[in-house]
Order: sequence, then structure tokens, then C-alpha cells
Amino acid sequence: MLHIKIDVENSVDKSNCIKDVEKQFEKIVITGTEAERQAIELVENGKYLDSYSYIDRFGYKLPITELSTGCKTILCVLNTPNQWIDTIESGINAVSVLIYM
Amino acid sequence: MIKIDKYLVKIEIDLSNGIYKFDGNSSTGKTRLYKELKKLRSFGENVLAYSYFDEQFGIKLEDLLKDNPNCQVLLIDRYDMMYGKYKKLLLDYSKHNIVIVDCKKSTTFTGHDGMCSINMTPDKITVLEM
Repeated sequence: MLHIKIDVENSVDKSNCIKDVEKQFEKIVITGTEAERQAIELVENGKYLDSYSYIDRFGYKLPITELSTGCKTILCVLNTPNQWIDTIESGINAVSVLIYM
Repeated sequence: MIKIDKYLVKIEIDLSNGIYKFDGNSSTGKTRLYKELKKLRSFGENVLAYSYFDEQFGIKLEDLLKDNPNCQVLLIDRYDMMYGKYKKLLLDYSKHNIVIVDCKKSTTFTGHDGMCSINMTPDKITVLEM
């Protein structure tokens, strides 16, 4: 279940909130679950290929690290249970995908 | 208008001097533009790009701007992670340069910041005023 908190400054223990999504993303391994594939398709218009690469909207194979920070935020949420993830760097489109997935 | 079209990826930035924020979407090409501008800088082009990554590496934005008072464009990527720092610095710099900021929070620099959109294809990145 997705838990959402608004106004993080006052409501979440900062020590338990991941703010740097780019750093956190380097610590997880995505395995191609349905939700992960959906995130890449909906945010990037791309396709999951494997744990280290994806196909971008132009059909090019790119390293998974080239995903947008917004997409990485979703993938971090999916793969880092029991920790708050700050969506500060996520665009409106990525946050919408996260909520409606 | 800034047009750099002699390299593999062409860059077109149709903005005037001032400070602009990108529209608030993910996966539009902002970080790609940051990386391309960094590369162009290394090729001798008069452009600047700065990100939270650079800040973490210890590169000081103040020094970068002081050493390059006039450039065609300055792009700030991941500004949300800088939590409002450098506002005055960027405002002052934008008086004589184009400054584009990736900032998804409702941070405002002037109260009426410009907005811009970015479009990318495999061989071209275009930034237009909204």
C-alpha cells in the first residue's frame, strides 16, 4: 500500500526520509516486475530491458542510470519498503503515475 | 537565440536574458541538456551547466560564475536539492545572461519567473519560452 505524507518538513522523521533519489537508486536492483515496467513505460515512454538497461522513447538502448529522476523515484518507492522517499525532484507526471499505479 | 549546430546533438535555446524555470514534468530532457552543455563547455563553447552533482563534488557555483561572467546560457540542474541556495547569485547573473533552472518546487526567484519548455529528439534539443 502506498503511504503519502504532505508537508514533509513537519510530518516525517527526516532521518527516515530518503531525499537524494539519485543516490538511493544506485543501491537498488530492479528486476522487471509489472509495476517497474509500467513506471518506465508511463514516465519515459520506454521499455524495461534488464536490470542494467532500458529502451528509450527513440528506440535506443540506454543504461538504467539514464532514467529520469522522477522515474527513479517511483522505482525507489517500489524497491525500498518501510522508508519514506521524498518526491521533491519528481515532476507532476511522475507523481501522478506513482499515485495511480 | 542560441544555436549550436556543429556537433552531433544540436542545441537551440530561444530565450532572452533572464531567469526561467522548466515546466514541471519529468523525463523531458533536462539532465540530457545539462550533460550536453557540459560537453560543449569542454569543447570550448561559451555555455555553463551546474548540477547538484557538481555541488557534491565541491565545485562552487560562485567561483564558476565569477570566472565566467558572460556566457550564452547557464543551466542549473537538480536545483530542488540545493534548497533555495544561490538565489541572489542566479538573479544577478540573469541580468546579463540566460539562466534556466530545473526546479519543481514552487520556488520563485523574481515573483514572475519566465517558464520554458524543452523538446528533444535523438539529434536535437530545443528550449522555448512558454
